[in-house]
Amino acid sequence: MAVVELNHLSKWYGEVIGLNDVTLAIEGGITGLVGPNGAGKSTLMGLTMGQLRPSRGSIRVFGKGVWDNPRVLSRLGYCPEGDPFWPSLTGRRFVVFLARASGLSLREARRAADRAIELTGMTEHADRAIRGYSKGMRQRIKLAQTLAHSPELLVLDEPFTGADPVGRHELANLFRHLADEGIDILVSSHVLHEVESLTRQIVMIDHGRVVAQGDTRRVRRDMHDRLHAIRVRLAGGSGSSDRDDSGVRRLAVRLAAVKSVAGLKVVSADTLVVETAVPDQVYDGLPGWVLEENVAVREIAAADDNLEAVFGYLTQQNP
Amino acid sequence: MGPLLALFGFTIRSTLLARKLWAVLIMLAAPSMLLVLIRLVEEDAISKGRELWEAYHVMNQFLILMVAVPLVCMVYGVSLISAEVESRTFVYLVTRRMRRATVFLIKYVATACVLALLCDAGAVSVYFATFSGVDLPVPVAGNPALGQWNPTHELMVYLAVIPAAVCGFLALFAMVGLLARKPLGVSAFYWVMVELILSNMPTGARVYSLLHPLRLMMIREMPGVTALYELPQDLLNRVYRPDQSGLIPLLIVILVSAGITAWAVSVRELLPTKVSQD
Repeated sequence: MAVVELNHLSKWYGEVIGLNDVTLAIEGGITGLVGPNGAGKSTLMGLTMGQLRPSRGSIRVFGKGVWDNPRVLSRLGYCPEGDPFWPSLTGRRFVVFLARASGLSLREARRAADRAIELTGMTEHADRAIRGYSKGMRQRIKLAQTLAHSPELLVLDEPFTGADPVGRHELANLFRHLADEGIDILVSSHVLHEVESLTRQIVMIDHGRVVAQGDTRRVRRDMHDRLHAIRVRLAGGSGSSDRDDSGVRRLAVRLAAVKSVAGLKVVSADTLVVETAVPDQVYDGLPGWVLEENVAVREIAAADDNLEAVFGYLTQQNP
Repeated sequence: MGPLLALFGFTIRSTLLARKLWAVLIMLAAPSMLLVLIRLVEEDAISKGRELWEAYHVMNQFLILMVAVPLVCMVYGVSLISAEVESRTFVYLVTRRMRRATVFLIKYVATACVLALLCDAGAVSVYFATFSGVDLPVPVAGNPALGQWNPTHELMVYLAVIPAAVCGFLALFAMVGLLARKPLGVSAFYWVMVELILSNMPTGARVYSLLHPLRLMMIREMPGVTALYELPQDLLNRVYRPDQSGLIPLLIVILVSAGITAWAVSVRELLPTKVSQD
C-alpha cells in the first residue's frame, strides 16, 4: 500500500495554483520531492501533514484522510521549512513539549527527546535558548522534534537548509540510517544533488504538476525524444594532456563515422561526449573503436542520467 | 490527557513569559496606584465611609471591570491563535495528537486561568490600597442598605465576577482575532462603542453589552452598587430586575464565541499572512 496517495488533487490560493490535478502514489523508503522554488513542493508537504485542505481531489496518508485526524498525524513527523520556533524555549524543552503533545508521558518524552537530540548531534547545545542558535542548529533541533515521538513517516521540507557541508553529510547519513530502520521519508529540496545523494526515488514537480516520478535513471531511459549523452574520458599517456589532445581527436574522427552516433562534443583535452539515440549500440561498440584508435580510456559513463540533467530536460531548462 | 496537559502547561508558561505581560501588569496595577496617589496627595480625600465606598467600587467597576479586564483580554485574546499562526508555530500544535478545536480550547482555558488570577490580583491590590489604615467595618452614612459596611464580602464578589468577565471577554476577542481582518481595530472599536459608551447610556440598550450580565451578577450580591450607575428609578427597575440572573447570558456569550472560534479553527487552514505557494 502506498504511504501517501493523491487522487486528482488540486490546490489553489485565490488565483494562484499550488498543485494542479496531481495523481500520485508515494511508496515507502526515501522519496525525494524536487522542483524549483515555487513549484509546489511545500504545498504537497502541507497537504500531506493536514495543514492545507485540497481545493479539489483527495489525499490519503496510510490509507486515511489526514485533515484534523490526530490518529494519522501522530504517526507522522514534520520538519517544516523556515524558522517556526518559540525562541525563548531551550532546545530540550522544545523537543520534550512536542513529544508530550504527541502522546508520550513526561518521562517517556524526556527519554525520547534525549535520544533524538543525540541523534541530531545537539546534546551539547540542547539546554540553550533557541533564539541563540545558528541556522544549522535550528535545523537540527527541528529534526529532533520530528524524530522524538518515533513516527512512521518523516515529512522533511528542505531539511538541508542552513547546514554546512559536514552537517549535510551527517544529516544525509542520519536519513539513510532511519530509512534502514524502516522509517519512510519524504524529503523535499530544490538542490537536486542533495536529494540525489539520498535516493534515486524521486517525484519531480514543476508549476504545480508532477513532471516525472520514479527512479531517476528509468525516467531518463523513458525519455525517447531526447538524445542520450555518454561521456568518454581518456587516461593519461594516450595523447590526452593540456597540450596534446590528439587521442580525443583521433577517437572523435572514428566515432563521427559511426551511424549510431548523432553528435560529438570535445569537452576538454581528455573528455568527449557522444550523443546518441541508441545508447546500447554505442556502449557495445565503444571498446572496439577505442582499441582501433589505440587510446587508453579511464571512464565511459552516462552523462545525463543524473537528477539535474533529467530535471532540466523535463522542465525545458539547460541541463 | 497527556497532550492536553502538556499544551495547558505550555500555554500558562508562554502567557506568563510574554513580553506584553509587563503592559498587562501596569494596566492592572494602575487603579491601586491611583488610589495610593490620591491618598498621598490629600490625606482625607477618601477616608470617610461614603467616599471610601464610592472610591472602592468606582475603581473595581469602572477601572478594573470596564477598562483593565477588557483591555487585558483584548491584548491576549486577539493573538490567542493568530500569533501562533503568524509565527508558524501553529503547525507544530495541529500536527500532534490533538484535534484542532482542542488546541484552541486548551489555549483558551489556560490563558483565561492566568488572566483571571492576574485580574483578581488587581482587585486585591485595589482593596488594600483603599482600606489600608482604615478600621473595618466602615459606617456608611446616607445608604441604609450598607449600614456597617464590611467590604470583605464585596471583595469576594469581585474575585468571583472578574474571572467570569475574563472568560467572556477573552472568548469574544479570541473570536474576533480569528475572524476579523483587523482584529485589534475591530476589538477596540467594539470595546469603546459597546462596553464604554452603550453600557453606560441611560437607556435599555445597555443590556446588549457584555458588562450587563456581569453587573446583574454583582447586583445580586451587593444591591447598593446600582447607585453608581445614576439611572432613573424606573429604568433601574426595568434593566436590573432582582430576579434576573447574569450567569445564563454570560454563559451563552462564552459558549457561542468559543464555539464559533473552535469551529473556525477546525475547518479553516489558518495560514500566515505571508504565505508561500511553493
